[in-house]
Amino acid sequence: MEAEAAKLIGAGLAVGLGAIGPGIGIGLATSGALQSMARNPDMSPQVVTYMFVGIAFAEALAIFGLVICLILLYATP
Amino acid sequence: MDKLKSSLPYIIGAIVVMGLSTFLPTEQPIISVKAEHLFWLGPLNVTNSMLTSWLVIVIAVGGFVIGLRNMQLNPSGFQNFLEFLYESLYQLTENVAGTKHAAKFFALPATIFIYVILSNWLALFPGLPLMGVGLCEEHHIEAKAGATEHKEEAAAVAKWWKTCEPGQVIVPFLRSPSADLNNTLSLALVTQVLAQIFGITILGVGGYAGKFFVTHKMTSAKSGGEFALGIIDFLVGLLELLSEFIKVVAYTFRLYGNIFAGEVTVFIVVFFIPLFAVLPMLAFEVFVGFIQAFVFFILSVAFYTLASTSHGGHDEAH
Repeated sequence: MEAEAAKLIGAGLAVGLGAIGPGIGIGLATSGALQSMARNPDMSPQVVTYMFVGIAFAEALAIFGLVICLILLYATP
Repeated sequence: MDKLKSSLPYIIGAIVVMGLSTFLPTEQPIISVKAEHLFWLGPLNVTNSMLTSWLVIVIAVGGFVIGLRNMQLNPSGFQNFLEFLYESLYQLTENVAGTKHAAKFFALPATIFIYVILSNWLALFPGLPLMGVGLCEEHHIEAKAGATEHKEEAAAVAKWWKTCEPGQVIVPFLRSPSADLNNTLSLALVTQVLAQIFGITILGVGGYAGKFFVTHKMTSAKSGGEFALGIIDFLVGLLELLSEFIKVVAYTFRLYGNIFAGEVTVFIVVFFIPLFAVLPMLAFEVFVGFIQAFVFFILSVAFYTLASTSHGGHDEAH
């Protein structure tokens, strides 16, 4: 297999597989936030703040995969 | 009918621009993971992201200096906005860190918040990094799947609307500083080193080292089971030490990845459909820029708080 083809396949796999975990994680974080906001609407601003922190953590892992994909496609590693 | 009439010039303008761009094609967009070099300032390699970071510093410092001249006791206008910014950030710090250490933990993360949010949003300023304004530079033609010959051919043909020599590409003058790994790495290093400094000054060297080399359960074990738990505690402490270094990598790549990926997406979408398709993407990038700056801030404060609580310590009452 040529290096070029392998790079393209790797780029696709990196971002595709790398988004599974964070997707589940963000869904869990948001679901927890929604449940707690439904129970206690007064705490909504605080809950939303911490939900965003949790989402950013999970999204960072997806972004790591995306950065590897971009490096594979556009920068000669 | 009236609304249609008043928006007609814009519709016609948009159609004209989209039509023109169909007849004036450009080559494959050049995306570079590294920030592109502009000029040498002595031994210093000034890249376009470094230039933008100087601009961000000038805007931030200048904004505060101008807004805080003739400070009034009852603020209004720009001073009001700056005070609102300051107080919101300080209240957030107090919520996370408690009132005892909030003043210490506030300074650096708040500054980084203002710097990062300005540098993220400056990259979205209409036209700035995407506009064809920049230096003409030799293009290092990289090997791509099936595009090599086509690219050399396309690059060698001089087109009349291009101002650069054939074979050269335009390097834009401005690029978001957060899309440069050097910038985000330096922010991460400064933040993490300060976390260690806070831990050592608040807990003492012995107390802070005791968080990573946890031996008291091992030494005070009375039975084999407790000794095993002590060993587990010790290993967890070593893992915590490793995670202090991993945090530098995480800070760096979280900010870099979000902003660079956003820039690349906007760049590529603009090359497909000129005007309209990029608008939702730009709106999302505004949101992402704010969130990344906010997350950097909150994470720094949270890790400072963790670093300054002793092993097994509890939070102060809110």
